Amino acid sequence: MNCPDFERLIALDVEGDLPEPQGRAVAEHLRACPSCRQFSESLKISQALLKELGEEPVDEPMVQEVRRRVRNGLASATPRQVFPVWRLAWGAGLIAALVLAVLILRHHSREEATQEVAEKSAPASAPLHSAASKIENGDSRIGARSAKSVPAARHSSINPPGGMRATSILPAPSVAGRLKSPHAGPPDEFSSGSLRASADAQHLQPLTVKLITDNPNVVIYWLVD
Amino acid sequence: MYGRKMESQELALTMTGPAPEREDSRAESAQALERAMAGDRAAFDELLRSYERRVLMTAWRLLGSKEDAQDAAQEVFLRLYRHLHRVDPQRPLLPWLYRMTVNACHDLHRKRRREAAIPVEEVDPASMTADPAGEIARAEQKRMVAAALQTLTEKERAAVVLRDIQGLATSEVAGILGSSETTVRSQICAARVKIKKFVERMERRRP
Repeated sequence: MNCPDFERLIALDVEGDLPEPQGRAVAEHLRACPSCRQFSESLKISQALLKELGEEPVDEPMVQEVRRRVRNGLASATPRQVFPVWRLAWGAGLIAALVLAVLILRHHSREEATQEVAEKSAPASAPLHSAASKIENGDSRIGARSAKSVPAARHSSINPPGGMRATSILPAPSVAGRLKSPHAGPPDEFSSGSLRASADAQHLQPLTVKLITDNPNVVIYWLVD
Repeated sequence: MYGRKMESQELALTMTGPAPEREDSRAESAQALERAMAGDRAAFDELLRSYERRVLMTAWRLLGSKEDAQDAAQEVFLRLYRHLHRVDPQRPLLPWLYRMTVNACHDLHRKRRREAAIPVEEVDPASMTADPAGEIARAEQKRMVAAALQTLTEKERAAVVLRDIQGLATSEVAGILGSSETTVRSQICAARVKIKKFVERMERRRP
């Protein structure tokens, strides 16, 4: 290692920035090299001056001026707020839930309104009559008594292909009951003559579509939730 | 030097190691910082008073001008106020402030370089008392060292100001500047040699 290489090490050694082995090597070199020793001495002087710069007091008026400016600046500056991501996620979820709830309620109320309008516009005997007339050609055991229980809004006319014919749409339980005991009388709620009450009661029941084929021995029931 | 990368890093304080603060004063600062974060203006004022001199001194030595140092210090404390929510009260505030100071000085230096050369301040004779001849000579030497600082590159100047004038450890300087210790050591070494040579040159020119 020559002297220029040592100069760099000496520049670190004057402030104790060298690890022990290198520091010892520098000390040994300084003992043997007068020019590097001189370099080290003048470096110590400039370092002492440099450190004195840090010891100079900062003028009080200078400090006061900064303080005044910062205080004035605070009036217009506002601390920035960070909105945590988890709060955003919660907010978005809440809004989505509210929107969903509103949509469900609107859909539900519209369905009820449609049902009420259909009940009011169709006379109580009409569905009975139409259903009964359709069933004339079908299974007479199920017949008109089954049609009595069908609310007006839930009637529909289906024309399936292949010679099949939809003859009635009936609530499943009542149909099932009649299939098991065809001669049994209608349930109390049907015999009361209150269509409105029966419609309410059947609102949540599944529907049954009866399909009559050309073969009188084949009858297809389609259960609809 | 402390361009976009440093700008993005400056707010995410990742300082490790102790700052040259006493434990009790650091605890007080942490409390004041927490209160300031909660919106207490008096607590922020307390922080301002605690650190304004150190920030001013660092900015002064980095920029070589008192007026510019005032601008930089003002910017540092306003940045602190604006970004209070990003400061971790569990960590020492001083390294964060040093980093802010270096960045603010870098921005200001770049701006000033476009405008005009940075003036090197004259020695104020009114500040000298006993032994006027000796003091004048000493003040003149310090002025030369201050001028020498302005001949360094920005990186060298920041490293040597933090290490030799502010007395931070090399590891702390590396943390503040976002460099490795080896790089900082190299910058410090080069800076010291340059300052020494500058002072010697100026001494030789004196009548």
